[in-house]
Order: sequence, then C-alpha cells, then structure tokens
Amino acid sequence: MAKLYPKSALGISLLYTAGGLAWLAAMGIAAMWFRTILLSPHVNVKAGYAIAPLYYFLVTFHGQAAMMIIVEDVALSVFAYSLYKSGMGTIHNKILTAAFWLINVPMIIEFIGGPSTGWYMYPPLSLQLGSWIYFGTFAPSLAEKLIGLAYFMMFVNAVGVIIGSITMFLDAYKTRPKEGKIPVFAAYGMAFGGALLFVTEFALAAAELWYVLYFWASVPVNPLTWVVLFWFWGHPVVYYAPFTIFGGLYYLIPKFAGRPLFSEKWARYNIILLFTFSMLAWVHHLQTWPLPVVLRAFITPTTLILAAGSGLTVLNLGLTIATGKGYQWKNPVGLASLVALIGFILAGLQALILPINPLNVIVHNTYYVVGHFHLMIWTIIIVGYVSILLDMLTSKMNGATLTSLSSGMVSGGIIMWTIGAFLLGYTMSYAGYEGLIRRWVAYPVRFVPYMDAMTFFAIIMGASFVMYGLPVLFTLLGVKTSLFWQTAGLSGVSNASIPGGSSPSPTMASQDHNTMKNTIKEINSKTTDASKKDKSLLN
Amino acid sequence: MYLYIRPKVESHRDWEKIWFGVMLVIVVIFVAWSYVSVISGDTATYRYGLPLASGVPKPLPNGTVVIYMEGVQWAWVPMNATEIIYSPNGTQMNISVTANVISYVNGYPYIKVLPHQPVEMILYSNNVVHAFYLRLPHGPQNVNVVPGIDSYSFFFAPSTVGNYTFHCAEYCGVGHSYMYGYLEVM
Ligand SMILES: [Cu+2]
Repeated sequence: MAKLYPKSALGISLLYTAGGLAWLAAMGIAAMWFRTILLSPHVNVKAGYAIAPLYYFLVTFHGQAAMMIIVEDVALSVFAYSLYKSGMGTIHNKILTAAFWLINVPMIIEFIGGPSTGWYMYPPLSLQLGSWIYFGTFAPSLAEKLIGLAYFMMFVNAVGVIIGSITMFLDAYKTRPKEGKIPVFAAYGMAFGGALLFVTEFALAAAELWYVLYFWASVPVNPLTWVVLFWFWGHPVVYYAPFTIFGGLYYLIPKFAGRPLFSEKWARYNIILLFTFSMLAWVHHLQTWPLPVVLRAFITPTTLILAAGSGLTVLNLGLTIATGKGYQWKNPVGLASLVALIGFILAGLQALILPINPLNVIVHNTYYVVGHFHLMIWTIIIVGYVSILLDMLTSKMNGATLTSLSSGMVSGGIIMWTIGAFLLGYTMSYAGYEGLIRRWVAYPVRFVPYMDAMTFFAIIMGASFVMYGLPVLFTLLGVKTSLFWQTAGLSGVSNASIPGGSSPSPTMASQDHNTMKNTIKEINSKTTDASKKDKSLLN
Repeated sequence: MYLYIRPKVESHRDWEKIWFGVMLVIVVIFVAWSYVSVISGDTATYRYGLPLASGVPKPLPNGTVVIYMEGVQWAWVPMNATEIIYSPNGTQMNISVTANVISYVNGYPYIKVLPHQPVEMILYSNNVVHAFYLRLPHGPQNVNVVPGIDSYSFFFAPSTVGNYTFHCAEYCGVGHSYMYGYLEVM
C-alpha cells in the first residue's frame, strides 16, 4: 500500500492521461455506434421512435464524456507535464489524485441513469423524467431522487475539476523559477489548464446544483437564466484543452523548427487576451435565442477579438516554422505538432462566419457547427495532445527513441487520421449548410449520401486512430515497449525530442540542458516508481 | 530568408503590429456589417426573425398571414391564422383564414400561402425549448422558442410555387426529428 498515488508531476500527468484515454476510447465507440444508427434515415416513424432513446443516450454520453471528463483530463495532464518540463512541479499529489478520481468516476452513476438530454442539457427537457431512459422508468417519486443523484454526481465531477485545477495552479506558483519568468509552456498550463478551469467550472457546478435542488428541494429552474449560466462554462470549456496544448506547441514547434519561438513576448500577451475573451464570448451560442439585443450585439466583437488572438498564435508559430532552419516534419512529434497547427487554421476558418449575426442563423444548430468543432477537436486537441504525449512518453521511457515501426505507425496514422478528419469535418459542414440539423435520428432522404460519406470517413479515422494509438497505449501500459522504443539512435527519428539530446539550435541548448537535469533528477528519484504506479492503476 | 544575422528576436516584432492592425480593421468591418444589417433589416435571414420581434415590420404589410404556432413534444401545431388587410381608409382588418391556410397531411401540419405573401409566425412553447427552422431560397428562418417567451418569425413566401419543410432545430427529446411540417406556396 506504499504507492497509492503518483509522487511527481510526470506521474500525475500520466495518471490524467490514462483517464482521458480510457474515456476517449469509450466515447469513440459510442460515436461509431450512433454513426451506424445514422446510416438509416428512419423514414419509418415507428422504427425511428424505437431507436431514438438509444441514439440520444449515445449522443449525450459522447458529448458529456468529452466536455465534462476528457477535456479536463487532457488539460490537467498537459498542465502537469508543462510543470515537469519547466523544472516546476506538483506538491499536493494526494489531492491531485483525489481530484482525478472525482473527475473520472462519479459520472458513471449519471451515465447508468441513461441521460438522453444532450451534453448541454437544457431545461426543462433535462428535468423531464422521460429524458432518463433508466432512472426515468422508476416510480416518479423515486425517479426524481435518482435523477437528482445523477446531477449531484455531475456536480461532484465539477468540484473535482475545481479542486484539481486550483491545487495544480497553486503548486505551480509555489514551484515557479526563483529567477526569471515562468516558461511559456508552463504559463499556458497555469492560465488555461489551471486558472480558466477554476474560474469557469463554478458556473457548471452551480447549474448542476440548481438541477439537484430542483429534484431534491423543488427549486424552480428558469430556462433562460440557466442557459446563460451554463454557457459561462460551456464556452470556455472548449478552450481548456486547446489553449493548454498551445503552450505545448510553443514548446515543441521551436524545437523542430530549430530556432527559438518567433515572439515569446506576444505569446505571453496572448494569454491575457485569450483568457479574458474566452469568457466574454459565452452567449455566442445563443444568437437565435430571445436574449436582449445588446447582449447578442456584445458577443460579436468579443468573439472576433478572440479569433484574432487565436490567429496571433498561429502567426507566431507559423513564423517560427517559416524562419527556422527547415522544419523536422519527418519526426512523428514534429509532424503531430505541425498537423495540429494546420488543423487549427483550417477548422478556425470555418468558425469565422459564426459570430456574424446575419450569417449565424444560416448554420446555427446544423451540422455546419458540428463539422467545425469536431475538426477542431480532431486536430488541435487530439493530434496536438498526441505530440505532447509522445514527448511525455519519451520522458517516461527515459529518453528512448521511437523505432521505425512505431514512428511509421504514428506518422502514417496521423496523416491518415487528418485526411479523414478534413473530409469528415467539411462534409458535415457542407451538409449543415444544406440544411441538415444536428441531433436528428431521422433525416430527409436527400441527406443519405452525406451520412454514408460521413460514416465512411469516420471509419478511416477509427482505423488510423488504432494505428497511432497502439504504440501510445502499449507504452502507457508498459507492454511490449521494446517493439516501439529503442535506446540507440538507429531509427529515422531525430533525437531532438529527447530531453538532453543533441540540440538542433545553439539557442535551445540551455533549455535542453535544463530539461535533462530534470529528467535525471526524476529518473533517480521518483519517476520510475510513479510510472510503475500508473501501470498498476491501469491494470 | 534566414541568411541575415539578427541580434535579437525582438527585431521581428513588426509582423505582430501589422497583424494587430489588420485584425483590428477586420473586426471593426465585420462588427459594423453585422450591426448595420441587423438594424436596417436588409438580410433575408436575420431580418425579421429576431426572437424578440425587434425586426418585425410595424405595421405588418398588407396581406400578411399571422399564424400562432405552438411547439409541443413532438409536433408543430399551427392555430388561428388571420390575414391582415388594410381598407382604403387605412383601417386594419384581421380576417380569419384558418380553414384556408391550415390543414394536415399524414398528421403533419400543412400551411398554404401565396407567392410573395408575407407570413408572421408567433412561436410559443408550453413545454421544452424548440427552434423553428425553415430553409427558403432567399435565406433560412432559425429562431429558438423558449417556454414562457413568444418568438417571432417573419418572412416573405418564396416567389416560386413549391413545397418547403419546416423543422425543429433544437433538440427537444426522442421525437425531435419528427417535429416538422410543410409550407406550400401555391
Ligand atoms: Cu422541438
């Protein structure tokens, strides 16, 4: 019973990674399942009504696992890793482990209840007993208690996020460098994996608690007030992972470009801009709602300013690549970072029409939006996370390099995945522009070819996910790692991703030296123990 | 491009100032366009579809069909269609046209209007949130209907004869995708 929790930032990072990946697998299976259901347009109303509860449960599970669990796991995992890479660390590892369990486990009870509310669970639909395909089958008095419990478990999840984010933020602050600035990677971790979660998660917690009180204490819920409260979390949550990952890209892309970041100063200014405006854009999801006109007018400039801030990130990283010494895209980590950046640009372009009031109504609630945010998730979050994860696993493997097998699987998998993602994302968006509304289990037959194409592209993505996911998964589990990692530099992989490896640029030397020291320190003390602990957690 | 030697990273800062300036101009243009088109009502989409009726013309044009449209789980229920006619002396007359305008086909509501006819839907819900979505050649109507608050959708019927389908666009439970009806331009 000696090692019940990881004892280092790297161990914490791997723990949250394990949680994120487990839920990612489950929500991916749900996605493939409901894509199969969607192969039929369900012209037959009886058949459509029969399959609808399952379909809407899968859609709800998919969304809630993503928004309330995976995104937070990923953000905190990358945050912890940023601390490890920056010579900072976590202190309250017990609390961070407890927060991990609060985030990842209680919502299982909610899922057992069979929610078919959609992830943004608008009232009063989500307060109807019929929206819970299992808990709703009990006698009303009991059903109300159970659904209240389900929302309470969601509240516990939010409390877990609050505890985890503030603890890691304070630990980061305490372990900040004695001299000089906090490195950009860790600064982004603190802002978006720490402070942003802490500030906005209260809105979700409050919204969920309101539902609990509705069921347990008959407190009435006002729909309009509830949704405005909800989106104060519902919008920033989409930035938890990508903006934290931006920090990782600020760290990784210069390494593979062979020069320091184009402008570190603007990377730091951007933190303030992105942090502030991510919260000021919140009701841009409600432009077709009867909100005061002033409020709807307000979110147009705030959203566009936020977009300009995101664009500045792209410019900064793009110029780093353009003015570097030839980008090492053949390295799987370098490739993944580059793909994440390109994906962010292409998915971002789709979003540009959304804050404009007259254009928003054309696509609001259609697959256009679904295509946009999925493309964002598939590139900046998934591929960006993979790049950081591979760097993290390199640390876990004590600086070993990928074998030609695993680097082929990762690079090939990511390229195939990204092609599938663009085809799927843009097909979704075009179908949405043509009038395909989201969350239809039955749809007009003219959309059948679109749906078939989407499912086909999704299968391409599923296959390529297995391709690049296997080396990652086996390494995390500590199974057959000799297949995927080698200690001698014999593969075609540059050793630039090894902490302390030969630096592609003299300007990077000091930083590498720093991380090497950390690595050795970790290896000598606790990393290996922590990793073993992670293995036993996963087994 | 990277042949010259620069002493410090800082010397490249100009790019970001240019970015900042360009972005500022773009933001101002987009925001201005957005506001102007909403205020003046010259976009087909947002024009009269404002949920709070802020864009609905006052008074309503001659010949407007006003329909009370209730969203239930799971159907659209059109009721009380009246046509607004102005007499030569300007007096407004509300003539009930429910029997001519509203019918049902296979259990789905079927609303008959004339080409170019102005239509105002007064949308309301007594249960959950719905959204009225109607894709017309000159732009879609897309308006949320929140229980307790009336929403308004004002549009001109297309100029060509044809059949258009309106849907619910906000997820409202298992029957969400079967919540639709027809607008027939005859
Ligand atoms: Cu509806």
